[in-house]
Amino acid sequence: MSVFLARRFLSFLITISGASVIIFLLLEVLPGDPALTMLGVDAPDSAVAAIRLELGLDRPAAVRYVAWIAGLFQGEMGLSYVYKVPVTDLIGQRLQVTLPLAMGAMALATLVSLFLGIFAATNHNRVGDYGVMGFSQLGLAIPDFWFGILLIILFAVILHWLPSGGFPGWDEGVWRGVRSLMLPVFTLSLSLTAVMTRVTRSAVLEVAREDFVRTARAKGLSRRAALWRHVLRNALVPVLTIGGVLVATVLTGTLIIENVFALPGVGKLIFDAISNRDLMVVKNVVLLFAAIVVVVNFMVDVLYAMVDPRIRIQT
Amino acid sequence: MQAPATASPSRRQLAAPGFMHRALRHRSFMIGLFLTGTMIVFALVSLFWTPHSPTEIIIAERLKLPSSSHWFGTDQFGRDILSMIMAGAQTSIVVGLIAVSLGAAVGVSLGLWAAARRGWTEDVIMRLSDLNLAFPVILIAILLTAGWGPGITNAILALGIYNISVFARQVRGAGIAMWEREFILAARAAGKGNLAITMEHILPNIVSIIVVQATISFAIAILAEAALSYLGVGSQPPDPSWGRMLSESQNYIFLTPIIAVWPGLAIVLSVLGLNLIGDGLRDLVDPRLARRR
Repeated sequence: MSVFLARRFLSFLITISGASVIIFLLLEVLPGDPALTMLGVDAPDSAVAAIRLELGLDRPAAVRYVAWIAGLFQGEMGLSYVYKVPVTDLIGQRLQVTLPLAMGAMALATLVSLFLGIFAATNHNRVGDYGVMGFSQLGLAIPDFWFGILLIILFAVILHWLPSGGFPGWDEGVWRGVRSLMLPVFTLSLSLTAVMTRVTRSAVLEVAREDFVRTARAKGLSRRAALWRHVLRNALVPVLTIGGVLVATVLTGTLIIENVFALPGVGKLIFDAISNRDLMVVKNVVLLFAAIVVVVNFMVDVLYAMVDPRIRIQT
Repeated sequence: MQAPATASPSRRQLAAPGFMHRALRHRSFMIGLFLTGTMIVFALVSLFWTPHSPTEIIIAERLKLPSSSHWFGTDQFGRDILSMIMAGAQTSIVVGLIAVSLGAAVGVSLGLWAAARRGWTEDVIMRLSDLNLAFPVILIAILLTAGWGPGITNAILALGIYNISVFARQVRGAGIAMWEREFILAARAAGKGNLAITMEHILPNIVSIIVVQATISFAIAILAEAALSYLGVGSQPPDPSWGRMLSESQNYIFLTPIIAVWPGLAIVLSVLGLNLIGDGLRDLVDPRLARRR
């Protein structure tokens, strides 16, 4: 196990370092002078010189990269060129919207998909199963931003039940905040639910065919008891492995959904930063997102190896 | 999305005489074929004919509800929505085709190479693919847009780069399973080298897996292109795009909600069609898998 862990940790470190190098190259080296990227090629020389001095862009690229990484280790991400505040503060503020959105959607999707997946598997090849699979097929094909717009039309434009977008801030009361996040959470959970329902269903079907389940039934366990005691525990393993993929889906989902509902989260921050050419913000937010994906994949690998010993013997 | 790595779907299965017969009787596959066919016909017809110009602005005609002269109504600039949707199909197809071909060409080569060489070559390719997976499509598009400005080329590149690791992983897994088969041992004993075995035996035997993956990747590409254009980092005006139609329509949903419905429906039906084809193909090339589902 320790050899496996060491190998996985090493490849985790390589991946995360590689990601930071790629981000730096794509934003600050390959497009040419970052000062010109931020101000535009028509900017007056004096402004370009000023921004170079202000952000230390006159230093060689390698020095800037090392300074960036060294800063990250001290919890510093530099100053946003547009907002003139530390990028860490900006991200911290925005996470108050993004985190509840992402976690709410994950929780909702997990609950609904476990229920639907088990329901479909226990009704295999019957009407209920076809219904659930049809829903999941549709959930995979519907773009989440369109689903969001449809929900706005129904619940905000026609029924006037929920706000069409925006976020008042948690200071205005928890209920108002939750109300503004309801449609976004529901929107974001659609595609997740569709994927997780499929995986849960096929995992339950797969495990239910195993010999040990037949043995359990032969021992006299009822279908329901065999399902709860033997099938579900084993079926959760494949569901767990797609956790890494799903976290990436949720993250990119928040980027889109925050723009649909005009929520002031990290996703809105990064697209505003692109329009404002605020490279410091783009650089750090992209690294943060990539890091989350890599960390979650690493954790999933480790968890998977703990649950299923065959994995660590193979690798 | 698990590859039937232990099964042996082969090129022959795609061309087998029974294949057509079974395909015609596979209901969801045929529905998928119909939906995708409709999208392709829309795109082809729009090359030389649309009911109205998809770009002509007629302010007097703005935000009209569906009528006999404008079947789907008009948008905030008085452009005919049906014509825009037809022309938008072109964008979706072109972006999907180039992105998936790029990803498949590089990814399949890397996957085959990793499966044939194993050892450090495989290690390097897999670590690169880990790195690739750390960047979901939107993050790649964000990086390219922040560095070079928005444009459809960035969207295509982002999707292509993302697909490289998708194909590489799939092909490597299937390839490794294939290399352990006895007929490969026989080919080796006959004195064939890695390249010859890969081209003559491995690739033909995993081509169906690649086709299925390409179909699914195409569907994902259409969704992603729409999302990127919706966010303003994909196709730019005046090029028609379903995603941008949606983002523009969002400002007018309080006036005429219906204009936000059509582009979304076009995306859903196209993606659904491709997904159904992908699932159907998987069943058809590997009936054992179909029976188990």
